[in-house]
Amino acid sequence: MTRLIYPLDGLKAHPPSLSPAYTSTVRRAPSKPLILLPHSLTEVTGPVYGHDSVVPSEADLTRQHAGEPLGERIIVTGRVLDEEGRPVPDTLIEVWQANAAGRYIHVKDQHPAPLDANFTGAGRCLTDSDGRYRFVTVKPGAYPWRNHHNAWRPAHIHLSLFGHSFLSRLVTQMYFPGDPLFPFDPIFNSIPDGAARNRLISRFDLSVTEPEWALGYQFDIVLRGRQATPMEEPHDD
Amino acid sequence: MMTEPLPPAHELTPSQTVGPFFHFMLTPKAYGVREIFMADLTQEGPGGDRLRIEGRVLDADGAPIPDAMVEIWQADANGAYAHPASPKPAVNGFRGFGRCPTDAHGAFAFDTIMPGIVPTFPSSCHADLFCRPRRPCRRPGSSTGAARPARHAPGSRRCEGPLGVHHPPWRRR
Ligand SMILES: [Fe+2]
Repeated sequence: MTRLIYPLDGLKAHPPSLSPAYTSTVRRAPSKPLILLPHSLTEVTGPVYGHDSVVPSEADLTRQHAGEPLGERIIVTGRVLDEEGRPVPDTLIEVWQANAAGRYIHVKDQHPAPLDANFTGAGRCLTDSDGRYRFVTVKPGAYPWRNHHNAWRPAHIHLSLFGHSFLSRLVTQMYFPGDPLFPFDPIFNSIPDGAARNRLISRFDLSVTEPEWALGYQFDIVLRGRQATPMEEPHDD
Repeated sequence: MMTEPLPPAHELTPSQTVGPFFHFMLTPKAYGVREIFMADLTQEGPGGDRLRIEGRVLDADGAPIPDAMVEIWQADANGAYAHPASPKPAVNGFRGFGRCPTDAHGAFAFDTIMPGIVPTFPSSCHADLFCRPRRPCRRPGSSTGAARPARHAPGSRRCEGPLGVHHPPWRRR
């Protein structure tokens, strides 16, 4: 049977389903091998959400309330590319994060750090024709969690992206350079390859930094490409 | 200082868990944040037979996972995807994408329409499961979860692995 086969090598960058140090994976990881199924048009199509779905002000997380949030104002920008190095234009990015004190507005986050009435921590933006995105926010604080004794997450921003197709869908986290919590974080370290881990660390960039206003960080994101090869593949399902 | 040139090799950005606190952005209605993705796809006004998909997300002990999120992606009643690569254009503004968080019982539900036959390919709904600690569960050509039309029996099916709903029983009859 002829099937569209997508290169799978790059997927080794992802964390395995089971990372015992990240204790939630133990009961939530698949215990059986994955079953191959035939591909369909899904691999070349995916949700398209463009300019009609984003309000420009949603890219500035510091201007969503009456006053300004506390914390270190930052600009985060970068390009979204595919594995072939092509820019991914007009694709939606959703971001969410804790406030400068490390507290999420989420009802389930009840740890003793203050909420900020001027900060929700949720934003959206769209890449331009060159795949570039940009949002303004405050640097999130580190926060504790209950994975193990004295567990703290390094400061991070959550990101969700769509890309070319349903296959390129990505949910990930962006970290900040030099965080002392990296060696102790089972989520960051669930990525087996050190080089792949480092691709989640943003880069301080003085050229993005705006004088007397905000520090700038660059974070490029590479999504799965469009390369597919029709080939004969044995299957046992 | 100039921005450094891009590295020659474009290696994939690894995924990380969606975490337990995604709701205020990804399914944010309760937080007063503008919501753009919903679990009711019929609001986009598509024609076609109504379809309700219900299920639960459970862990290895059969305990509900209350902080997961399921996404679906499908063709319209004519078998067209709302995407430029679709051989047939989608009509009536049907986007074919839905998103639903699980509730305290691990349950999710979508109201949508029966996808039509897609030329050359089996017709189906496709689903991604996002759940702490998992990245998007669906991998290309892989699945161990299967949904069934709710008309048979609303209920759940044990997800023994990635929920990549990818079965053809929903062909238009
Ligand atoms: Fe987080």
